[in-house]
Amino acid sequence: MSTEKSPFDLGRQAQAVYATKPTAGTKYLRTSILWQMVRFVVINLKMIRVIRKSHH
Amino acid sequence: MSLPRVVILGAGVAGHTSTAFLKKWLGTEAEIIVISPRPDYNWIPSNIWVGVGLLKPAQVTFPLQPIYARKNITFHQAKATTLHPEGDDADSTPFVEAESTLEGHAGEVLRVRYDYLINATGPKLAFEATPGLGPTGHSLSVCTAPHALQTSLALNEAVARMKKGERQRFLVGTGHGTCTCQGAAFEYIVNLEFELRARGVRDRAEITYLTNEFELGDFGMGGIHIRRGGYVTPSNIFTESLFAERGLRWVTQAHVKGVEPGCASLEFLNGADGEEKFDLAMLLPPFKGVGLKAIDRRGADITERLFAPSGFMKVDADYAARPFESWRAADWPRTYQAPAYPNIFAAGIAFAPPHPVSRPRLSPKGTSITPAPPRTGMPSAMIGRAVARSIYDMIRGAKAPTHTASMAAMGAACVASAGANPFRGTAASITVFPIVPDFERYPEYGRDVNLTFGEIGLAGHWIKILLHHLFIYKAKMRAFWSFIPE
Repeated sequence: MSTEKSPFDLGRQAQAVYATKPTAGTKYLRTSILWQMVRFVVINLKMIRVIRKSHH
Repeated sequence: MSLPRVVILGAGVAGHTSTAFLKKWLGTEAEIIVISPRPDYNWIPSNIWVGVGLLKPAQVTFPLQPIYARKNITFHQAKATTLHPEGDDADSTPFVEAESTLEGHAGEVLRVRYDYLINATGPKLAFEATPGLGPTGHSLSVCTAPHALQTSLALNEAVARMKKGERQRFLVGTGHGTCTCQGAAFEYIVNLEFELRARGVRDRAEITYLTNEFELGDFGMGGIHIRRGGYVTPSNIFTESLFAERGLRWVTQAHVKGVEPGCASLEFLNGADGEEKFDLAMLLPPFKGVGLKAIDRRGADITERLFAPSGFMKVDADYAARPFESWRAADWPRTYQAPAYPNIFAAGIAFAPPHPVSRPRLSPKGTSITPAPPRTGMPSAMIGRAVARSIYDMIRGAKAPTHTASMAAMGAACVASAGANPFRGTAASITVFPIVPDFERYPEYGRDVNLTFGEIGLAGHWIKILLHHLFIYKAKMRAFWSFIPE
């Protein structure tokens, strides 16, 4: 199998070098059911705060 | 004495919100009439999921007529064409002309008189601004449910080819230098990537994001700043991270000059030309006003008095041309009342913004490559509600609009899907306050960094699902619908 990279892959990798990447722990927490149940409540509270501040 | 008559042009987020609240508050005290060219309501944010084949069009749309009949609201399925804000020689009561789009009556002209008018006609999808752009050309769209369905069918064909071992190039983004709604393109590309992984063909896909933004994460809002990990970080960092993590390539500062089969030709902000090859392209069109005309009592064309050259309606904004450095939050409209006629309002995308939010930029050839400001979703609904309340109060005797909804004084909550699965899916949950930056009030970032927030995770996907069902329930005006916030 050829290991030569396509122009697409070269371009993508050049951009990715300078991009911030999540750690394994961050990725795990993004779909951790227990942690996301906590975040569900927190995000809803944050959104309600903005909605309340926006109604005149 | 006849009842006051309020006519609402359009039944999208802004128009339908106005209609629902006017009926709730006015009951039988006024006649509420809706004129809209399409028979269905479309919860547009969920079109993304139709475009990747996860939902059917019937799950994001429903017929309006039965809802309006149940609520005693008159509905004309017709396309408004001409406003007569001074009436005519025979009767000075203003009226609107519309052409029926009802099967069997297409083209028949209706004349509907009004005491108050809300223009909530939304955008014209200006595919014609770029030769070859759009579903009748060589690219696809998710702007309407039928467009999204067509895109999902094309995606199925591409996946079938990948399963046979072919590589496929996907191009997703904006199809013109002045497009808005980058959020929709963002949602589509990350959902597409997620779906290709779910179908087991991700390794055969080259996915490129093409945008008119100066840098990723601008979203037509000049970007946002989020406090995270001990830093206040601009949104381009988060967006680049999301794309890099998913193996997506991005091309910024691009105007699409034309779309041919398999190739988009580009002009960049630095003046260079370029091209992007593709097997499937989902490129959003720029928005324009729907092309309403206005005629005075003597029959003279007064369209320029009511509408900006873009076709959007002039309201109580400050439209004086100024350099970017002199833009102020106060330029943005508050009541959405047309200065020329106090009984006309514009809500949602139909109002003419005073200027973009993102810094305007021209290529050396003079091509504008500047995202237009977003006004979809929550701000559209909030404007629709404020306009409805002002009209309610004016019918009851108020001399001027009583409610305001400036985008420079309101926030927005947005959930951008990044993959739909109840256990593995994610979405970016974002709040901004205010939508339009106010550098007089918040000198450093233009926004309150305590209220401007963003994070990605499964919880966002759950919220997105919840909002899909809640907002469709609300739009159907079922029991207690008005308790659901905009």
